[in-house]
Amino acid sequence: MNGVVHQNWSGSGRSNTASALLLRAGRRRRPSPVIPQKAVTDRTLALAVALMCFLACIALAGVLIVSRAVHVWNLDIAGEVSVQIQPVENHDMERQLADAVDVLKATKGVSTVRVFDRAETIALLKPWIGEGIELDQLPIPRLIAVGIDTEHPPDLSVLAKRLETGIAGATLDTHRQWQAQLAHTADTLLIIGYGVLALIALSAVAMITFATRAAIEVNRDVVEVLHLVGARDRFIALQIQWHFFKLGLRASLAGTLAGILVTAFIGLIGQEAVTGGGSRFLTFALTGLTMKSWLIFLLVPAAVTFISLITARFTVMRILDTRSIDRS
Amino acid sequence: MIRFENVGLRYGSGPEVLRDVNFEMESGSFHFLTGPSGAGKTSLLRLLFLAMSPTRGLITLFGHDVTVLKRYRLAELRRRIGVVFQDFRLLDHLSTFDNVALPLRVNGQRPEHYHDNVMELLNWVGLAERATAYPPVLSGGEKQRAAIARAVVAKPELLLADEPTGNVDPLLARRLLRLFAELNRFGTTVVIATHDPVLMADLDGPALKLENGKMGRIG
Repeated sequence: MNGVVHQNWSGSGRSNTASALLLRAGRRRRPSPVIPQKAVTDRTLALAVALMCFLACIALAGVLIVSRAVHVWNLDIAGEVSVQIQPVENHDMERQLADAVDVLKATKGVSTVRVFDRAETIALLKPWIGEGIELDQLPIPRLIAVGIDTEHPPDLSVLAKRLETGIAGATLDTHRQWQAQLAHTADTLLIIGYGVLALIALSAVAMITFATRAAIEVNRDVVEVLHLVGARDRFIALQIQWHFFKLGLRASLAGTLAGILVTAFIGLIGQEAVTGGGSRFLTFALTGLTMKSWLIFLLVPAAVTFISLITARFTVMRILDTRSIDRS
Repeated sequence: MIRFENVGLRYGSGPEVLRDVNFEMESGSFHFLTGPSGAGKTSLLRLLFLAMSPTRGLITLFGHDVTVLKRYRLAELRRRIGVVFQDFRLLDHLSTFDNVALPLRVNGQRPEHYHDNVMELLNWVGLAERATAYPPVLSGGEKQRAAIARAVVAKPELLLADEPTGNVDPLLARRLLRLFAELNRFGTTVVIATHDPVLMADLDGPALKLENGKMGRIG
């Protein structure tokens, strides 16, 4: 070949000068993409991917907030139990309280014990029975708030048995029923949240598949020429998947940024309006999201970009393999 | 190098456009493929550059039976073949330089490695000044020369050309033929499909004549 091209092409003296200039300029030039970018770059697709990421961020924020709320509830509930002592005939309530306190203090894993005195107990009951009734002469149950060392909690069933058998009228309330109901509700919300995220991921796969098919159809002639000059399927797939990788990355970053900003904005509205324990975290408050939670949002563009890349490659390889686009 | 045995080809359920085609070409040979329009020259070339499979018969290329060749092996064989298409088939979104360099690029070569060779070839075919131009602004003759440069740039073992001088003036046609002859002298097997008797008179080579899908031999 060199022998051929070294022969003189008569009349090409002028072009030698031009080619020398082009030689210098051309070496620095990057070759154009093999697949026309304009044909496969679809603004609608970019918008749809950005929108998907935005929705994924909102769904993810919901999942993270519910997860955080469940965590706080569990900490709150597991960190404290209460002992209720019912008045029993022929038993001295103060004696019963003292015995219960002794049992509790002797139990490993109990961090604090606080007896609600009679006045505090009446104050607690007043909202439920109203102002008009005089409670001073009535026998009323008494409460002991028991702090639990959550790192080394006691065996509550053993403690309950010891209290119920040793002290007349004593019962241990572990709030487990509440905990179970709240956990069930939270689990349902989490399943819905994860389901929404899965649907968004599936939609992204469907969109990229459709766009990849369209890109190949539009560039059918280009793909055929590439095959005929010796391109392997994976070379063609690389050109197309790289395009969708860039599109997915740009669109998902834009959508995620919008999602984060909107989540933060919603969180700022009325964040301080609601007080309370774990339930406060369900008000879409920013306090429900830790720095780690915010970082999890970055998984959205990473996942969407990965989905774009893999889906495009898989689709191209499958089309080229099954349709024999170059060999009719 | 090339062997056709009882090859037949039909498009869909239509009549056979090639019937019982038998011939053999040695490595390093130079052949014309001639015949009237519609005789099946382009179809035969399409079989040769592996764009189609025959409906029946056996085609052996580089020692491989192409009718049973696995798909992933096609690229390997196509890289040993250079093709000048009758309609050029240049990619409109690529510059003349990038079009010519395409076979090298798909072969994994880097621009800094092939740049000088491609420019040298473009200079040789008189397109150095048009290296950055895009096919839509090239004349028919320029497109033809770009297509020829693309076909020969990877130094193929087999060069197939479908009416390669149809759009150029007689002087340029002779020069392009000289390029094919030079390639053939360096060992490339050349098959040129043409119905131009002047072209065939310029170069000494046997001609395979296709008529109504049947093969004969003249010259």
